[in-house]
Amino acid sequence: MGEWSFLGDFLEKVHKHSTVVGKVWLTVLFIFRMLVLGTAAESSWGDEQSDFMCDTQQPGCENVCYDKAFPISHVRFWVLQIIFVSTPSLVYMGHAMHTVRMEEKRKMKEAEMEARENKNGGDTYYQQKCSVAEKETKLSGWDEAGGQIILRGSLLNTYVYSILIRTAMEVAFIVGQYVLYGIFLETLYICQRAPCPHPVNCYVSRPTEKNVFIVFMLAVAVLSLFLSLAELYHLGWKKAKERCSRSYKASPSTAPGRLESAPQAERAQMYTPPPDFNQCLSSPNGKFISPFSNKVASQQNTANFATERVHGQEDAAGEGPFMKSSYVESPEVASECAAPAFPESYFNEKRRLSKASRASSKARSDDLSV
Amino acid sequence: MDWGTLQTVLGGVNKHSTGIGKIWLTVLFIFRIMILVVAAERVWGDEQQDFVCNTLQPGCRNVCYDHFFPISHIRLWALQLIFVSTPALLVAMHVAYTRHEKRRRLRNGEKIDIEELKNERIHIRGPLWWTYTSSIFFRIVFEAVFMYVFYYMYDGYQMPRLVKCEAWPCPNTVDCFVSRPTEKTTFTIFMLAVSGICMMLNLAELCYLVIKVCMKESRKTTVLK
Repeated sequence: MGEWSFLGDFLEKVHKHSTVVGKVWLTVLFIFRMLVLGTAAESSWGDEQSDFMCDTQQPGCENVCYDKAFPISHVRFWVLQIIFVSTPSLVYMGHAMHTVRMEEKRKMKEAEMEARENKNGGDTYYQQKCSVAEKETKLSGWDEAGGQIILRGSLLNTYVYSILIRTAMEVAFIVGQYVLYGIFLETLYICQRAPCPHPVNCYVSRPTEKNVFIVFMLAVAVLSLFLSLAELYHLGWKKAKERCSRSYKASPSTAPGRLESAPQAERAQMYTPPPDFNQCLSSPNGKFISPFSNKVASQQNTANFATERVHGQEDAAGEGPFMKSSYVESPEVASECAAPAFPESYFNEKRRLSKASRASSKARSDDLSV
Repeated sequence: MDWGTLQTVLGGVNKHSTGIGKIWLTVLFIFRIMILVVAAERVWGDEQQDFVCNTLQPGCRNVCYDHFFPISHIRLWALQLIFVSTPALLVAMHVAYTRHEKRRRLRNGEKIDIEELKNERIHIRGPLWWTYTSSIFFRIVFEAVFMYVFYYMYDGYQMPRLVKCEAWPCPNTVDCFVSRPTEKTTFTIFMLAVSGICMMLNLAELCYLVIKVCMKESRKTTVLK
């Protein structure tokens, strides 16, 4: 496994910033693919050529028959599969790190601006913060308190694309394996290729053991594919649901999702927002509004803005948050306008609030530490 | 072969690289070094054992193998990776020297936190820019040279299945059969493709650095005007 440490180190970082399903997928990759490949499969295929026997004395016939039977060894094929399937996650990781750096730069600029604003007085306070916040909607994805990246906007798109590419790679390699070798290895391989003088019987080494591993690796590949599809479904369904809910609602009611993350302390403030506050909120990037407010809208009188928001938060607690923080609409404006990104304590508060908690499983940061 | 040491050294350089430099480093480690260690070394593992010649003449097989494979692909790739990584050491040395100078100056003046100095990200400006750019240039040159050496030594990038050997002490033209030619061709082409990608990344990084400096200069001249 030491040889896999290069890839392993990178994927550990990806693990930290993945969704729950993503973490399960990574665990499956580490344990059932890399570890099994490195320890068991390698030794099983170790003597694949030396013990590939052909019923001939013609020099060179065994070589060419082995080459014809196994254009690329199963083990190498699986190594390439693991690497290609992991690569999209690395691309996402690169984007996430880039986002983090941008966020750090933004915070520095914001601190400077705040210092300047405090000198000039608070008249233009909200406008300034809102304009900063609007800029932030594109860049921000970093929850400082929780140390996690929040998926929204372009980062979420990268994540979705990475899963799509990963799925495509998985399918390609499964199909490729089927095309190259079928499913099972036969014990006997009949070979006709120069310099073999006639069709020659060749015998594969350890066919049963190899078949066991082939079936195992195929099953794990299918499981990984299923997990990727589940993750896509989870992401896509939420998005579609939210789009539908938006088409039913009037525009002010689109705001609740953005305010989900408001800590209790600031809620009173938000019940009577200042005029430009709504202006901040009405510039949606609009990709992932709270998926839970759909239910809310159908059940509640949407005239009461504040009540809707509170219930939106309760529903959010019931659905099981997305990675460590919950699914928020991408233009989650800055703390000065709405709320900061989720602090740890916020989740605990939400849980206390929702008495009839529908949560079956909540994502915790150390869910699946490998 | 212990590539971990290389990873430690290059990891340090990574902190002061551009974004493209970081991508290059990732590609280097995952698609080249890892593939070399995990996959390619196994494929070429039995290259001499299973190099079979249609002769009973003792020594003929040895001589023919040596004639057709003066230096194994694996060793060539290892050399290529080392040469291509080495220019980054220039950058590391320059950074270390800059830090040393800073520390010396500050020791004479005010006190500063040593840890902070160690972790400070040094921007690519001035003499460091020249070191960095020349390291990228050398990287490109080494990549190109090794790609050509592969092409020249093995007459292209395909591994033949059958080679005809006439070297002494083989009594006549002898058929020799290479072990796993298809798999070897696959990996040769894969490594070639990744070398090409690395070269493109290096070129892009070089262009980026040059353009950045040109833009800075043009901004300076407009400000002065």
